[in-house]
Amino acid sequence: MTAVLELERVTHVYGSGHVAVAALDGVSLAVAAGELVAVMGPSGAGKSTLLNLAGGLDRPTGGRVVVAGTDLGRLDGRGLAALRRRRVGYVFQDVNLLPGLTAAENVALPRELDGVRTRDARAEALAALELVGLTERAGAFPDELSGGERQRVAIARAVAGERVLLLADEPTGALDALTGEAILGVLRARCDDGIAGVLVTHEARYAGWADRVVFLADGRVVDETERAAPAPAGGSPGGSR
Amino acid sequence: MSALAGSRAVARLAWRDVARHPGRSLLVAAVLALPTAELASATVLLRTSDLKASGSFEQANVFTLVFLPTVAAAALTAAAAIAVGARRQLRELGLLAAVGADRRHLGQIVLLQGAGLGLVGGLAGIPLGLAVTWAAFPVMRTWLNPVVDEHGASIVPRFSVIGRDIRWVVAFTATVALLTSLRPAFAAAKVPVAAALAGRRPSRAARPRLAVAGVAVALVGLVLQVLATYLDGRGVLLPVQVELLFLGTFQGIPSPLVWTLAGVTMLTPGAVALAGRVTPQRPAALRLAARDTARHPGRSAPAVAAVAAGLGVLVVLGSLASDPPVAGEAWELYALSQGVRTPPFPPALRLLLVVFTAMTLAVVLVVNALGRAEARDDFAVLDALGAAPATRRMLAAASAWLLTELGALLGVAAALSVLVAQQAVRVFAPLWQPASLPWVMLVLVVVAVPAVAAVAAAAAPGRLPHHPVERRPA
Repeated sequence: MTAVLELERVTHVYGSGHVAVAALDGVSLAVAAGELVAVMGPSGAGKSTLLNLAGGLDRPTGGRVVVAGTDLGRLDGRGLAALRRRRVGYVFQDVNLLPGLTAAENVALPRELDGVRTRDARAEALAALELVGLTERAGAFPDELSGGERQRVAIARAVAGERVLLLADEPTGALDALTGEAILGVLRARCDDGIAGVLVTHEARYAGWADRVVFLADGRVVDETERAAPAPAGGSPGGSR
Repeated sequence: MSALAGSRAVARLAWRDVARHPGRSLLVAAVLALPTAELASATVLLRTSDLKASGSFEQANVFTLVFLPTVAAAALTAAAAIAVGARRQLRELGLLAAVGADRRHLGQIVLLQGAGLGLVGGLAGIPLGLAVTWAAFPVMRTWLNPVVDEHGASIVPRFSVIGRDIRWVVAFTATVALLTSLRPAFAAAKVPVAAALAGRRPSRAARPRLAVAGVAVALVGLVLQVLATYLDGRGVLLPVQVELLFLGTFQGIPSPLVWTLAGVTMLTPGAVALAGRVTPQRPAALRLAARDTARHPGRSAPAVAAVAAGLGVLVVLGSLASDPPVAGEAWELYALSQGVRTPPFPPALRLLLVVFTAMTLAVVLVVNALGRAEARDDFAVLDALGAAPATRRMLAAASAWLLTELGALLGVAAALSVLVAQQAVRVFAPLWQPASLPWVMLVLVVVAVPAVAAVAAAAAPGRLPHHPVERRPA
């Protein structure tokens, strides 16, 4: 299977001189289309840094990051921004949505920033919201949505258009267990549709939804396990698995 | 992708943020309405007056000396408010970048917010200024030089508005609104995405070049002052534009002071950074205020500059009050040309004293309120740690005191250097004349004004979140 995301011996160092800290130290990872990889590890292991590099939010100090065949090192700031508008979607733990925009406007935003007409972007946004079961809440502002609904809107935004890579940084961190499972179900379903996904999580039960779990410690991959059994059966409480 | 791609989304985001923060939006608009109102009023008054009647542009010059510090204070305060807004949007800007907004989009959002509000406020200031001038015209026209016809008969000034002048005021408004927003917009465009998403403010490297440029501009002001006094002593007549902008004086108030103050403005980021380092361990409120001031140069440096501008002019005005021969000489010449008796201290200067004191206090209080809004999370943490309500008031007071004191010291330094340069050429030797310095005014500016600002800030009502360390909604 072709890898959508490839990290080749990636290193990232914060600071310089005697205060230099290696957040990532020679990490290699490949994620194929339709695959969901969970990244686990203690705080400071480099999980969020890995995600930032994979999405072009930051640049590696060493090594190579390739997304859908594009070497991110060859892209300038505009190129990276365009990549995030078109190919990569993010879901964060909190502050996921812009409070001044409705759910549909939040989902449509990357497409509008890319020059797509407002009407067309909205149509795509509504289609994406339908995938996460939130069509009726399209006109709601973020503070009118529950925590779980906000995360589902964020997932809709992350997969709208022609996205190939979904990066989720502790998307269940601020949610209760039941809502968290529902969110993971939605993520899993989108990956089953063909998107490559990387999920950073502290919780082993959420990692159970992934095809593979990568353990990071002190910026290095210390262990990697394949999923022994299929992800929790019966679909997700909130998703369309 | 075209340059306009996403512009509708950007405009919508900018507008929604403006609407979500009506207090801050109103503040920016109102602050920038003030200089525009002043300028609109001046266009009527200066057109009505015969500027050539007294042989120099005294009325235009005093307008410049009032107007420039007002514009500076207003623009700097608005810039501080816009910068605070941009910083509070930091995570949203980071989120926008994460979903694909590039630097241009981020800068445009802040620029649209600031420039749009400035333009709206400025345009609202035009009818406001004209209305006030119209209402007060019967009094104001008595301050103007009388216009005489070819037969030497006085013409009674009439209130009239000239369209071309108003177009210039609109152009001025647009320019100030744009310039005010540029720096925060550039800062927003350069925000590191990963740091913004984590809520970390980008670290600001020290800018020694700006400080060097500031010293150079301040020195230019001093050189201009020496030149102005020298030429004035020799009775050299200069083109009015040169007199107005570079070498003019109005009853002893030197135009080169504006240059020196501009140089001082460029020194303020360095001054606030220094204040963060050179702080006593106790009291804790002062230490916290100093660190906060240094951590937020985008807010504190413009405030210090605005205070320095206001108080710098105030000190020079005070020097006239404490040095009757200087004020009297110029005033006497003017009075003789007008055929009036010489008062000891012109009433217009007394009015200016009041105006600049009020302006300084207003700037400090506004910036302090912005600081309180920005530090809301910090206050919540303090509350969670068990800090008493009085602690918050002490912090507000310490912050106001520090901003005003820094501005006062810089403004006094600028004013004194110009006054000494003026004296140096006028009397040749000795260069230093302590007796002619405005000691009372200096004490007022360096001690009393910061104290009043501190008391006013402590007395201002503050809001506390009901739930300490609450998480912001998405």
